Amino acid sequence: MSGRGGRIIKKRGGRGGGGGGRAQSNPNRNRFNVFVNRSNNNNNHVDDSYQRICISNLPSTTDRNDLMDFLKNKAYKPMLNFKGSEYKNSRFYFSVEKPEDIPSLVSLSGVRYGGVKVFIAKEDKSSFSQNRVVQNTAPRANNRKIESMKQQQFTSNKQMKLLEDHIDTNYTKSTVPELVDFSYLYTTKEIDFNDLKTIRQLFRLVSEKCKKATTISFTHNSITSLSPFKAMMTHSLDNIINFNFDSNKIANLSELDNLLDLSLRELVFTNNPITNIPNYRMEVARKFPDLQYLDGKEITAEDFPPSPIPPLRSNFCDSAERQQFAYKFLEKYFTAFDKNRSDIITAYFDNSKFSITYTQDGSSNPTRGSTKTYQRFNRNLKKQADIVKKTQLLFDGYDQIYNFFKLYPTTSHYLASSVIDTFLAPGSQYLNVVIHGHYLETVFKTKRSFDRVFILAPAQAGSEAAKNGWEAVILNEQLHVRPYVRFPRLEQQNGAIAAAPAVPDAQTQETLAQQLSIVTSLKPEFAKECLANNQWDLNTALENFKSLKEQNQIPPTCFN
Amino acid sequence: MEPQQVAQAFTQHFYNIFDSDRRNLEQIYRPESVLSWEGKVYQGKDAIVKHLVNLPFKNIVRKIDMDFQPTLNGIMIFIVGTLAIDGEAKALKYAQTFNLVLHQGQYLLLNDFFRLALE
Repeated sequence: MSGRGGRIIKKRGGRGGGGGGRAQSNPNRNRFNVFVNRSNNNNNHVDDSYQRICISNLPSTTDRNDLMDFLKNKAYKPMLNFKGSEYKNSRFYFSVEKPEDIPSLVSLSGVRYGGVKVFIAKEDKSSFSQNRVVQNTAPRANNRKIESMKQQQFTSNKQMKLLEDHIDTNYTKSTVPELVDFSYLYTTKEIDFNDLKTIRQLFRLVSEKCKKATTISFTHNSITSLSPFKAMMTHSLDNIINFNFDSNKIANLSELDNLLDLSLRELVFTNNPITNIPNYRMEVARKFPDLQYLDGKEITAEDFPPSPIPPLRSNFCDSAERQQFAYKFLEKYFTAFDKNRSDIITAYFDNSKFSITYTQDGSSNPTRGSTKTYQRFNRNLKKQADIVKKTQLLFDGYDQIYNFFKLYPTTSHYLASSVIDTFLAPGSQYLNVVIHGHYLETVFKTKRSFDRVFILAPAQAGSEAAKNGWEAVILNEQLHVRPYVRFPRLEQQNGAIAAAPAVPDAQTQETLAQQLSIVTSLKPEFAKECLANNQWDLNTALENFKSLKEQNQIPPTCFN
Repeated sequence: MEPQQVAQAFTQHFYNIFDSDRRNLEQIYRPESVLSWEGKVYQGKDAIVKHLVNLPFKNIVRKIDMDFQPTLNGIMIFIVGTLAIDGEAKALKYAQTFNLVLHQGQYLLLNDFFRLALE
């Protein structure tokens, strides 16, 4: 550390000028710990309170505001704020309000703006101060540019080497091949875990070298942003299901959105500011439906707030046989729907009906995924005023239905976590199947919740459906799509028919006794006794009363 | 009546009763009706109404979206919406399906599926 600092001071001091003075006031600054040591910075220069990005290959006449808007959009960061700009040495310098936004801006490097490829890098403070000295001398500025790029390349290679060495020395020799441990590397090796490039390299190395790993540990690394971790999606690291972020600086729940597309089993955020957020456990559990452990504690029903209505119970079906029939159908249907959608066409016939409704809540991002498809075909009769449109939106027959599903996004359904109710409508041979669950839009990586109702009839022998292996044909189908909500943990289904009924509160007891007393003319105290002996069930009490009365077993003194 | 009018009128009528005095739901359910409520099943008017009357809440603020389809023997109505119970600020999402069957010129409520989607 001290050697590095000293070298920079000497170099800058030799050049003299304002730049040197600035550097000396902050000798410990280097690119690896820009996120700390902020308090050591006693420089008054206004720009210096922000990190800057450097954009090269654009003329000075470029509209800065337009360029800023372009970058914001490209980086999908509507909340990103630029705090000033400067054009120097054929480059734009934009001050960025929040340092955590820089990685996503830098990752845009190489993007085309107005037909020109632009290069974006985090400002290198040392080359910045030197640039001030050699202002506007184009050839030298160019050299600087190359040097600066070389410098970045060097840094990047160096980080790569450090990570690779770390894996080789620690992981390869480890007796626990399931765990890759990157703890403390920020402090010991100055690796910046808030940097997108670093995390990309890291995931690439992990996918190459740590094939058995299921857990990655990033403890004590001053991580403030999880946005670089999105990069994990591009490497096939499906086997990594546990992350340990203990002792970092993650403060916002929105950071977790960067991990949403991963299937996670366990997360650890102990010793992060985020754990102080009210309802932290519930919020995290809601975001990750597959998560089983958070901060070393199993996620249970207790992590969800109490509700006056009992929690969801598991699937209902009036007969095991029909349940199997329905499950078999659903499995075949959703497998086809997800993997080979044209196969579903034979499950419909020329009179099948289908419609879709869609609701959106304020918190969902309207631009994401295939929202527009849902909105276009939304047949919400509460809102659609136009009767013609309504009629058109009821799809009639397999042709129309399949044509609609061709427009439907590609999906991956989680049938195992769905709730399915099935039964035969009395007096008919039609099976009603109601399924509540969620799916992933595979292209957009957006999860959606849905309710889907099928009315099924057994497929006739020799029919198109039967020939294609369907045991049932769909008469009616209604699909409702909405933003993803997490289903609460299902209650354990125990063998008991019904739990012992709870004793109602005093007021309810009075009301029930009063009702029984009115019907039976029993004195209130005997009505109460009768109810108490019948588990406070009015009907049972009444029945028992009637049979006892018929047998003349109730003394007249009991009556009013 | 057009199926659409039936669907809309039924939905409005049903929820008016449900949200004011659930005891009057006995006008709607039939001896052969079946209610699937959160995976529990109640068969017959008496069992259904008894269950609904005994639910531990009184006041409901409800917002719904609806859709319907004609079926071979009647109308299927699909409701999704939110309900806020007894002045609670947090509304619960739910989905409900009514299966109406045409019988001697009258629509009868044969099946009623109810599920909450708790967050």
